[in-house]
Amino acid sequence: MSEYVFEMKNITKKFPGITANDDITLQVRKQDVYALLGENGAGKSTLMNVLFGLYQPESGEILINGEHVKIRNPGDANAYGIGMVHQHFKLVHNFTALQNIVLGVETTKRGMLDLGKAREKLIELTNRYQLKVDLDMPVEDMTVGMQQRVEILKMLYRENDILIFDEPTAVLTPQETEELMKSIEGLVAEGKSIVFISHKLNEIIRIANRCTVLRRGKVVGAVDIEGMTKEQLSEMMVGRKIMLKPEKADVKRGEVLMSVRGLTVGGAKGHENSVKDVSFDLHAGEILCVAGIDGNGQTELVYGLTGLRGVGGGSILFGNDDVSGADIRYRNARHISHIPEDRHKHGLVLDYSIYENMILQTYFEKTVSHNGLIDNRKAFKYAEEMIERYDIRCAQGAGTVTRGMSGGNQQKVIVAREIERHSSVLIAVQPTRGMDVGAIEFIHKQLLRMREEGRGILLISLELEEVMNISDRILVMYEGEFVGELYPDKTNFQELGLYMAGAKRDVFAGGAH
Amino acid sequence: MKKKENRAVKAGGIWASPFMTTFIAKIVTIIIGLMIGLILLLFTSGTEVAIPAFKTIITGSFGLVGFRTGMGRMLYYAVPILMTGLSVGFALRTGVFNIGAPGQFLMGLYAGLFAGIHFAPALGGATWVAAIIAGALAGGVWGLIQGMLQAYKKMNAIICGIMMNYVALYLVNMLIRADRALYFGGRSYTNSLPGDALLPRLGMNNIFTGSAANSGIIIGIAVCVAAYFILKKTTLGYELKATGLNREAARYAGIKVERVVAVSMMISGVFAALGGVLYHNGAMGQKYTLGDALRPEGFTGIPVALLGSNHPIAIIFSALFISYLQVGGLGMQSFGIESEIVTVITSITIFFCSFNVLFQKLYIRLIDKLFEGRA
Amino acid sequence: MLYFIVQQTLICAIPLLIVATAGIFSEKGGILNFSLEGIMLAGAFVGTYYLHGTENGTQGDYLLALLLAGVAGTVIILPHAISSISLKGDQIISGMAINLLVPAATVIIARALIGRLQIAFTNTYMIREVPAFSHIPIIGDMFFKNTYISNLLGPIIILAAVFVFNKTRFGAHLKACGENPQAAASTGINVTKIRYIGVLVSGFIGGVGGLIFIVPNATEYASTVAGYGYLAVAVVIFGQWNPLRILFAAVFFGFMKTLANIYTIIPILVYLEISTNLYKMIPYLATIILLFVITKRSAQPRALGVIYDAGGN
Repeated sequence: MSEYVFEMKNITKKFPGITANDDITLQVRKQDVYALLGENGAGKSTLMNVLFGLYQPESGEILINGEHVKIRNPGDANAYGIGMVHQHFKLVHNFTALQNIVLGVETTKRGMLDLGKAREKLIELTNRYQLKVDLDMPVEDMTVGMQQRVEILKMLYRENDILIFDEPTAVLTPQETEELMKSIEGLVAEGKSIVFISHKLNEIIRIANRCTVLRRGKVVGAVDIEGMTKEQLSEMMVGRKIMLKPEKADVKRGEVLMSVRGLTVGGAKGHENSVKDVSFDLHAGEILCVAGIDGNGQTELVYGLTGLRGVGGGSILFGNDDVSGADIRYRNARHISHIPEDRHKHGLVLDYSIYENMILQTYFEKTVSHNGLIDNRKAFKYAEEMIERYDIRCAQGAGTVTRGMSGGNQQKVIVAREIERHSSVLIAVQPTRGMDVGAIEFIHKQLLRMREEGRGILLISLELEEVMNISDRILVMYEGEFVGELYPDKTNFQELGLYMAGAKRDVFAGGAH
Repeated sequence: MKKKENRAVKAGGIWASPFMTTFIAKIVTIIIGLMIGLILLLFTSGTEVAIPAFKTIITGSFGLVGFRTGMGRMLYYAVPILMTGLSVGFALRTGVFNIGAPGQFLMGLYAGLFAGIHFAPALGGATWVAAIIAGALAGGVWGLIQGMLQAYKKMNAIICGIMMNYVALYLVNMLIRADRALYFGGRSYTNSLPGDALLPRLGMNNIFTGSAANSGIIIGIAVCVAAYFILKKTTLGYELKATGLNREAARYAGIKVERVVAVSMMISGVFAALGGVLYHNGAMGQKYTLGDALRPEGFTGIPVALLGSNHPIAIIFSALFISYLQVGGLGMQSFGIESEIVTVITSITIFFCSFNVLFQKLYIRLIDKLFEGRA
Repeated sequence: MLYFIVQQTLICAIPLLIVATAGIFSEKGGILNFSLEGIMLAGAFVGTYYLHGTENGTQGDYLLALLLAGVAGTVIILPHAISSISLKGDQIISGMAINLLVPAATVIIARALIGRLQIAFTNTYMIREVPAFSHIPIIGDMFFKNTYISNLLGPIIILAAVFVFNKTRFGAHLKACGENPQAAASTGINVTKIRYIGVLVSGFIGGVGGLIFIVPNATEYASTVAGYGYLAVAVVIFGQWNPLRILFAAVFFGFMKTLANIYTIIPILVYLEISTNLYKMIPYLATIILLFVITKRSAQPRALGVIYDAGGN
């Protein structure tokens, strides 16, 4: 018997233009909770997808219990007892929990599905591990937390011994996170080995006993967690002190730019309202941050403000101009700039070039068109200017098709476009998600510059660090409502966390003063 | 990804440009289509017949009927499929599959017939202009209805197009049967158009003797150029393309995508309908046969658009090419072979168009290899 | 009278529902099947060619012809499967290509085979009376007199489809591939294989449906199935990818078409003196209106027509 339940030796995996895993070695012992730490794009998920058989590495080898194995597909991985909870759950939305769990390993009787035994076994498992799941509920009706439990049951039902969790807490409330931690402890006690992918240091220190840190596809080091501090781990992760708190000039809060009263926005088809009777004011020279766990109505709030979804009630006032019933273009042209959450879905027409994307909301305005004809040359010149000013890296100038550009540079195109439209209000939704440290600093600088110019910024962020570093005021959103109004210099992570979890809430008259 | 492309551009020069890549890939598919057509001929007709017959197809039967006649026929038969091809391609640029082109084609044909016969006494020599306008209007309305159903009622484009085609078919039958000027009871076809309703020949009958070539092809090409201009230069074109490439981003930008889709279908309907008018009002003695089957020109628009990559100018060439093959197919009777052989060739070409991207990738890899080390 | 309407409706509805069922076998797995017209034609062509060669054909001959028709459908859909699944091509285009190809190719092959463009056959396959069943009151007259063995196949295929989709492993795997192929693959299901099976089954049933359309309706194969393949595509959508709803949609459509064909024997409809063409238009118009009135949440498989990349990048 080998010392390790599995080993990955010298794994190299390349994608066009990038080496995602460069000579990575990882050794996990039985009953380890092994953390894989690194920034976005460090290669953590790629490495685990190799182990799970979704990717084939260019070189390197995998050993299970000391024996060389070849994992060609998830089926092979399963056979070796490897299970994985992916970041985006791999569940069929209109199947029930039971159907999802048995998928691929269904038992049959005379050619017909026979799930009776499976149900019995699952009921036993749910009891043993305290994983509350309604087996007959379709996945699409479940909370994210329950969906994750379905994923865990999927692995347990298959009697997997090596369980991989890819960023499992990104979508969970702190309570759900705590529950997950307990489940993981229970699993380890039963003899399972865990790989835990994360970039959240608190969690790793809380749950893991050993950790490998990746940076840009390479191993920085493998350490025992005991004795490590958060600071040491974070330095390994990014290679230098992270997120220097940006210099914030003193800016006096100005007049109210946008005043929202009693705003209600519907949820996805058939669901109850996602934003419930929300009120707040956004001032000039202010970065107002809406903090909260993903899925608590932030997306819908932004949709309601920008017009991407109709509002159920309430008003959105810019001075005397109530835009709550106005179309997207009206809001765009007069008041609002919007850095959208999903840059590929909303932010860019990927097959358009930079200059075409630069005029996405203004193509019909006098600056770039006359009598229904677009002045491509003018648009091109404008885009060249933006490329220069915002340091957008592109191969063929303003004519570069944005699809081929890196994520960071695509985001810069959007940031440049939205900031330079000179609207009084900017709504920035997770503007730094998936960016590297340099790009994050750059974008933060731009937001602060806007603040100094006396414009109002509504920042929607899931990253607590970002929230604390650059905002002037924080509104915490929980289940479609604002439950707390905090100031970064008067609060701390713990308090913020309590609000985000819904464990603490203030009654304040609609949030506006 | 980008880096790799750049290197190819530098190394391959013009050969690695997107235009060349698409062009070469299409040429390869055409060659494959022709080869499989040849194989079918060899199997069904034997070598003695198949080889000369195949030669006739790839020479557009020009050898058989003479260059001028062959050329003229090619231009004449290109007109309807040019317009339906443009119709399908234009709608696809907005991300809409216009399977309703056959219905719009028919509506245009009917309106052209109606205006041609009814307005001739009043308008005289200008009747043909009225016919074109009437056809465009009819197709525009028909396309707009379909577009609105798709955009505002979220009706499935395929189901909607198929149903609208049949409704148009029977509607036109009904309208024609109810109109004594267009139709004498008992026959299965309509009366033919008066001379004033026909498109000017512009002396093309002298150049292309023995063919029905007329100004329809010139009008058709002009319409394609106009479509190109709309897409390339206008704000409407910007909206159409943005909607087609990323509907959500277009919405985010404040574009009313439902309206854009409806407008695009309207324009697309005008194009298809122009196919009907320009074809039917193009030559003397044309009669529309009433029946339960949709005319093929509308469907042929799909291959024309695909072969032309939905690009209005490229569609001109793909329409001429398919027409060239069709004219070649007309010469097949003398070999005892059905003209359907041309459809076989085009459909196989279209089949290989479905994974054309693969050919493009292979081609780029080839160019990369060829030019390696030279840059 | 009523019996006549029912029988006429069946003649129209049966092939439609069979071919639409063929469609869902492909589309439940996530592969668009726009090629049903071509598939039907291929089945009809091969089937009638076999019947053409038989004299005084028996029910056995008919069944064999149906089998051959199915095989033909399977063969002709194979390129679509390869293009859509293995080569990640555009699924509408390859389907369309088959629709264009088959009618043209069969003309040429028919000419080569029998020297004529149409393939005629003698229809000896009608069953005057099904013993025992025909004596059941009402139902006997409606369904078990002057009928075809193929009329029985319609319900059987629908029931089989319901069974496969809800009660078998394969059905569960196929649906998973159509909704979320990544999820299916992560449980070790071979998405490519499952999808191939779905599409090929689709071809087989579609081919059978092609011959079932021809036999009661015509005396020869003339490179047309009257657009039924396209209608079946519409019926699939109309029936929301659900076999039982498809049954309803096909019967609805068949009934409308029957009315359009036989209105002359219904006194009140003749009295109205409405153009034949209006009646012919009704099924299509009614479908549009029905869809207009009932806008429901689409049950379209989520991954339908979406190119699936197994990994790599």
